[in-house]
Amino acid sequence: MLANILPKLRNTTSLCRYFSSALTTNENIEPRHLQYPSVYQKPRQIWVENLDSIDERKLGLIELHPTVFAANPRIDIIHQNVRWQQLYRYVSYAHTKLKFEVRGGGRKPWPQKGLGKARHSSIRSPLWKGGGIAHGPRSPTPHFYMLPFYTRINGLTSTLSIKFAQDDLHVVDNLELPTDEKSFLEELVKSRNWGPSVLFVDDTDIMPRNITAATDEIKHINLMPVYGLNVYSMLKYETLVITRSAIDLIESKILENLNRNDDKTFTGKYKVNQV
Amino acid sequence: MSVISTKLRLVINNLSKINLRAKQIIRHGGYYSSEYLEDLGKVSTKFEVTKDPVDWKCVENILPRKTIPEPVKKDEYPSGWQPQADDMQSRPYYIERTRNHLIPVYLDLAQHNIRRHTIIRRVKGDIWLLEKEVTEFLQTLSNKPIRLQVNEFAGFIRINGDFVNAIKYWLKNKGY
Repeated sequence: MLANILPKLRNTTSLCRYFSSALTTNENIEPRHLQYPSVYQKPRQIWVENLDSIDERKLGLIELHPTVFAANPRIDIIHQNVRWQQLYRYVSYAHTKLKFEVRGGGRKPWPQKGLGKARHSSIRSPLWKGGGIAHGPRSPTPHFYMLPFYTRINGLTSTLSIKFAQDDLHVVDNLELPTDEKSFLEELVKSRNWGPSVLFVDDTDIMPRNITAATDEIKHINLMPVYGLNVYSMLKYETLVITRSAIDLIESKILENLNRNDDKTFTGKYKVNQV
Repeated sequence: MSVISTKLRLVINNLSKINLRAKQIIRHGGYYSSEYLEDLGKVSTKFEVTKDPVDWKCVENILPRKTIPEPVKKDEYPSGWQPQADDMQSRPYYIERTRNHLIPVYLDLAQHNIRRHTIIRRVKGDIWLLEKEVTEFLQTLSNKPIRLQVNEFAGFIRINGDFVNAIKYWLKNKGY
């Protein structure tokens, strides 16, 4: 009985911290230098949290660029992105046969004149039951298309801004866990009210061993490198947990693309054989 | 007949020999009339590898810039271009410059250039105040009532008619 309750009591210790937002450690988080600083909008601030204990410790405040994390929540652009992500890999296999593909029908069913019946040349004509289908679906029909480059970039900034505004974006110092048990991670997510599904984002695709082993068995808690970050996945997961180095990389990549000078080379019409 | 054919063959052979000898480029020459590649032997091009940062700076000057750098502050620029004023944070609305430091006012042509729309993009802050001021300004230029559409969510104003240069001039004088 006591053994059942004791691990749950671990969470109750952090109850008082729900109502305080003070710095709980003295670790120094080095401040971020924002590139292309915004003239009008102020930089946004976010806490850096820890992952090495169930109790949340706030390690420091960092600043986020307002163009990336405080953009307008353009749900129209987000919808375009989600639609594109679902469609570009979708191939329709619905198939119907044309008149000449249906078996038989080579002979004229009855003479053209003299019978008082309607004229017909084949029993597989589209007018006939069991005949071919005119203008039916043909397989395979690819639905691939390319979304314009800056619609994709704006989709990312809109989704990141929405996640940040809704308090579903968390920054951690690194993804090091003390154990590789999945119960630890589940308990941590539960005590921090991160909701049912969590996506951890790091700057590299080789993650620490413990978190890889822990998330391996939990289907709704997953890992993703920065190069895989996309609108659909960000919306799919309740909470987005990004490491500090990943924040640096995401922000620099998006800002570079929003400010680069040679955009004419890739904003033209998409060609299938382009690199 | 056989005599003529042998003579012709001789002529053709001689002509082809002349073609091979001639190394200059033939007028109206094509792919098939061009010569085969020849082995030139060892070609010695002299070069030197340097890791001097001073030399590298000369290379960097030639490389195209990835972004347009922040312009040097001057009182007046020969092109008539003007940088944004410094007091932007205290203003009720803000129009962000593009990555090329230009004012984002564009002309949208449609329906065989019959429909002319002026679009002010990248507006942040109180867009409705901007709408009021723009209509007041444009009313002085036009006899007809000004028709415009404000999209606060996407941050742009779409005005019926071609007022691109007028609005750019007006915004420039206001410091935007």
